Amino acid sequence: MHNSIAKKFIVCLFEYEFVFLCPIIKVHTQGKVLQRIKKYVRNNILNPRTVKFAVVGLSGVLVNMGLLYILTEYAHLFYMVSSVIAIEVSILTNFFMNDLWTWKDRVKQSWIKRIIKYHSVSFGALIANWIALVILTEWFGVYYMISNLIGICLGMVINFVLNDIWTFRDSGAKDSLNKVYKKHGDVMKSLESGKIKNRMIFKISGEIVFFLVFFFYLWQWVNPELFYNQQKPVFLTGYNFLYSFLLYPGGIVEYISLLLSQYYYYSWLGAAIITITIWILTVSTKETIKQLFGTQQVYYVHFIPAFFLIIMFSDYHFPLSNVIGLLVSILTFNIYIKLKTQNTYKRSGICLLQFFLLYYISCGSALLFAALCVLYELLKNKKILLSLIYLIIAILLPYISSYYFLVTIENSYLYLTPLCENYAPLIVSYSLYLFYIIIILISSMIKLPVKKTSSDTNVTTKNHWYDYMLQIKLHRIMEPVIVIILIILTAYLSFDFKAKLPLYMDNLAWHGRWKDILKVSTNHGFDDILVTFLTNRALYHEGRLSSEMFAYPQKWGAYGLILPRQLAAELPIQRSELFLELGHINEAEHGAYEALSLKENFPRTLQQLALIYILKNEKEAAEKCLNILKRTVLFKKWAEKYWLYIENKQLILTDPVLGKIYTRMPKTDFIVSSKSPSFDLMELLKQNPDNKTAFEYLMAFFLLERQLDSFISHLEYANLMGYHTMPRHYQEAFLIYRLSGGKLTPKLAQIQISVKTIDRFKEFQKIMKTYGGQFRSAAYKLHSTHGDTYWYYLMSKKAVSR
Amino acid sequence: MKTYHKYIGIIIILIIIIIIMMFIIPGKAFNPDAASLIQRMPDIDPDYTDIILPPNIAPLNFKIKEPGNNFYVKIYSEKGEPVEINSSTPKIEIPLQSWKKLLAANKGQEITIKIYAETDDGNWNEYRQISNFIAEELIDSHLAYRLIMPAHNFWNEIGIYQRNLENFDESPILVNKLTDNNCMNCHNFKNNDPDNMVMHLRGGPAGGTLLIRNGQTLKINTATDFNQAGAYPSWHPDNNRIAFSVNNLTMFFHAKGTGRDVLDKESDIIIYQIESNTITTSPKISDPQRMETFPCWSPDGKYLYFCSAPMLQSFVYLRDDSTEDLKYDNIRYDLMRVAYNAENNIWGELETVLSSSETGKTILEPRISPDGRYALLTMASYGNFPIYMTDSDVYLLDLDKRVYKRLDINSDRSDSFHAWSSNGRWFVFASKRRDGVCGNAYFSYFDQNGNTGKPFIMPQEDPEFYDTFFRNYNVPELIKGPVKSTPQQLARIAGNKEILNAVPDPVLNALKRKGNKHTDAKTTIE
Repeated sequence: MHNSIAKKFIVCLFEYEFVFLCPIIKVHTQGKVLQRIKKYVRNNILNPRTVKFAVVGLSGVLVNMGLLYILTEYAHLFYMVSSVIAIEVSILTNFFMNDLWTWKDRVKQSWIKRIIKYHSVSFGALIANWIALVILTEWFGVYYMISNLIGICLGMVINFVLNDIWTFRDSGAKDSLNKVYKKHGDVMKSLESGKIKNRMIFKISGEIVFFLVFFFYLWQWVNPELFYNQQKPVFLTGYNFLYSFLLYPGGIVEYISLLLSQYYYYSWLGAAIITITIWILTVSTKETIKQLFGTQQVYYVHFIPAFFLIIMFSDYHFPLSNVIGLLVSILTFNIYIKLKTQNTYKRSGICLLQFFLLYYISCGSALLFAALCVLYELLKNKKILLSLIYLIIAILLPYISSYYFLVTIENSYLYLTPLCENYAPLIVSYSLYLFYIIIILISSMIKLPVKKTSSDTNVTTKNHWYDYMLQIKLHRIMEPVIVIILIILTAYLSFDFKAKLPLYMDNLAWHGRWKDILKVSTNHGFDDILVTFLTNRALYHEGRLSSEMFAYPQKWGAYGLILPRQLAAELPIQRSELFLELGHINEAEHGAYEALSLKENFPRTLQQLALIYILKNEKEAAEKCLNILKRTVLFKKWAEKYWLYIENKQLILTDPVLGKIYTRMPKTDFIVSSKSPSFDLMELLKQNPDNKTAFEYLMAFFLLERQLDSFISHLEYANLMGYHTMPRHYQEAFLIYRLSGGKLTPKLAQIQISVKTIDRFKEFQKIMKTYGGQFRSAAYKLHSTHGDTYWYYLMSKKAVSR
Repeated sequence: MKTYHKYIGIIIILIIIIIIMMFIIPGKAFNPDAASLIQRMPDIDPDYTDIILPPNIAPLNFKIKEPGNNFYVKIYSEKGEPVEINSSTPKIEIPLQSWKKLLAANKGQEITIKIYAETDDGNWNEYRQISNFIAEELIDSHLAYRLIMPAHNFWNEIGIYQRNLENFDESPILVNKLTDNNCMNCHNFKNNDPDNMVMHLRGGPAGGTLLIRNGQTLKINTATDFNQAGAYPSWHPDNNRIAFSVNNLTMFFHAKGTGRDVLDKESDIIIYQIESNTITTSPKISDPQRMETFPCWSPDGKYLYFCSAPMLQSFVYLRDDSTEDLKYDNIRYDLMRVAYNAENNIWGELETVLSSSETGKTILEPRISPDGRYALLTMASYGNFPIYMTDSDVYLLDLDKRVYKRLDINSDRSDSFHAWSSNGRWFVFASKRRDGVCGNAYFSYFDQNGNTGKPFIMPQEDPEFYDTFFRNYNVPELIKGPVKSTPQQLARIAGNKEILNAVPDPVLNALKRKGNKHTDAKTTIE
């Protein structure tokens, strides 16, 4: 035992940076460690091949470190991104060097298979390396190159563990194989190993493809970045933040989920995190099923939770903490059912210890573990008393904990379970938890026949080996193909575009990608007020609000232009961002604080508040917001940039965005109107007549509210806005105002109604006339010809779904 | 022992040696005599310089805001062992036990802090010493307060907490995540006694007033047909009466300066009589023509102090034929008091103690010193919500001489919500001086002649705590010990459907029959 561990560890020390391509032959030596090491050194390390792979391994370290430094320092990539690239490149260089140099003499499989194998083994090490790098750098302030070196060392250890439990594991299949070897000699041996290899390849390939589909679906369609905006609270580095999560059951799982889900900010990384989590859950489920049914064959049943989860992640509400809670519960149950001891006292002691720990770590999720243990002991082991004890403790522990922790009785049972979450597809999340219960119930009712190993089958039926291979192949191909088709189908059916659109547009707005908003703004999204609001904002930014606003549905009227106060609880930050742009600084602050109350320390809100306080010249308040952002992983650099603005007012004035806002801020106080935003817009415009945002929003407001008198009476401000031609909707409104007998005559410099507008209006009148002046009858026709005009909007019903 | 165990042992020893070396090696050996003297005090945060501190206060941990790679801090006084701290970071965390011993041994003495910083070239700078003074008198051991984010209309997590001022232990008294996330505040203690506490929970099934009396907790409903539920409370020293204000507050917003503002549309004062479970009042404290708020009993219970302003309608005027305007910034409250005989429940003369016309400012939040001689007040340019007013300051009124003064403790930001310690030698107040956003608890010494010490912020274990802490310390109240009820116990009582409905007494019923209840003033502010 010690021999193999020592050997494996030494191998892994080298292997992390250049994972073995060829199977390692086990050397079972007995005796003292020193002798074994000596023997190992003689047999392996002094071997030219060993020297080669040591050189390759070392080169991998250099490539990893060198590339990390170059990409970070010279290419100015964020070191977390550089690291991922550096690790991957080092794995690839190691692979090719080993392939072309260390083992060039070997007959090999196709290079794709080899590279996949290589990655699958080094994946754990890769993740460990990267996480260590981030944690050491961000939390402990270690220089990132040193963190990386430590990460590499940690990767070696992880690699060792993975190899120990996976690559070099003594599998049941191999035992069976060994039996056959003994019976049928070398020929059989080679045939059987080929079959097992083929089977494994299909299985692994199936799983890889499944999770690749999963990953790409999440990355490209679901886009985890959109989850990021719903995360609360934001993850902060430092002990104080961690400590607050240690004070209640479930806090640890929540902390880990926050740590991981902050990387949703990078969509691909978020997708990878979710995929890996679900992959681990799938593997744990598989192990559980194997144990419960006493079989090696699970027929892809273990993929069922992944199917449920893909549905749940498609609706943008399911929190990662629930998945992690579920995962730790299943992993703990796995450990429990693998206990070899049948001693009731020992079993119950271990179970209770597990339950207490698990409850503290994952709160309500631990009840699934308890339920599984109760059923397992009751149905599988027929231990009624033990299961009863488990049941009583499972019921009592949360209740008692509600006396010691700051949780309500309800939350002491339900926290981190779907029952605690208030979102729609509850049936799916219940099903996810019920799945495990059902599995254990079925396992107690039916006993699967232990599948004969292929070698046994061969021996007893005397089939020719290639007949069997053909049989196996088809079977093995079909299984993953069906599962993959199913995952694609599930993803397709569960994907909720309507849920995604507002979130996606909102995310684009946060990053100021206005052109992209207009690209994705689609008709069927306009039932959502946020879609309308963001489309209007994007139109303004693209200079098209006054000429193309009515080309987009305006079902929400003025509410779709300026979100009403009633929605302040739902969309506070969006209101705040608009008000900041208008220069309505205190209302921006108001909105930002509402947002902060709803999502504590959310970066977008803190950024907004920091900018507000920089503009208001409230230095200490700005510093507070930036100090918090400095403790986040992702917004540290942003905070450092704006820290300079606090000291140097000139930077504000020269900043293209802040400079503009600064000049628009109210010069004298007025009371913010709770009746209509138009009063505030008028006041802002009065104080800063060149505030184009306020002007265009005010005019749009009047148009949407059909207040033509007010529109005309403020039109003179257009003279100050630098228009070369009067915006189309203004022309349309002006025309209709004059034709309907409006008497006000604004003094407009060099602004005229174009011939084209007059012609279109004539056409509009003509169509109306054709339909007897009845707009209702003409609406369909007019929608196709004049649906983008103010006339059409004005004539259409005030069907604003408020 | 197996051979490999030896190797493991060697590795462990090596690791331990490396760790020990890491602590031993840093920096050159410090020699205070070789340090160059900088002729100014070092910049430290929080500002714990030139202060008078209680002999039982927790260590005043601070951050040195001077350049340096290593720091050496020596804290010493006349007696006892000096506290010495070597630190490779500017964060100075003072060991609790050594600090306590030093303070206990030097009551009434000066305490000195010497700070040295090692520069990049390996030389040390010595800064001028910081001298503070340790008072003889203890401060009450605990501080109760509400923690809330700087909210506007919405809130999330709210809790009433208590902090042991002798160390850094903070524990919740009640948090709203146990009570359906409702709003909670308006907490008050009878003479700094943690066994007699009242707090109000607003909204939801847990809504009501929690009354802890001699350690027993009750949930009461102080709302009757005459009045809404009581808000700002004050315990009568007979332990049987609590005066509450009944307010109708509304928030409005400014476009420039401090955004938030609050208007009280109407208010009265009611008295809840605990043993009879009745609500009473008097036209003197519930005048329909005036708005009364912020009740405060004198320590002997013979007077009820409160603030009062003319009814809201008096500030409304016609801007033109159709529009009404409210001169909200003309609303100023006077300080009043009314004599009271608790034995016979008889109200005496009503008198104006300090008029807003005299001060030119609105007078709010009277708190009478335990000896009854002084009143701490908050004054601001107008209104009744000083926490939102940048010009709100704490004032001292000598009740014997009827002389008031603005205290030196004030800043150019909101200073308000003050409370006395039980011995009257300390007071706490909430100030936004640090960042203008969050109110923090500041303590100040108060001597027999009405002089105050420079205020200092409540010490925290992490010297950088306030840099990122985004919560307000609301209504800080000094108490003589911890509130013993657990949050879970209080939450269960709050969540209980059983509520003791207060009953109007005959006086209140008579007022009700006369239709004296205020109606909402129509305002143009909303």
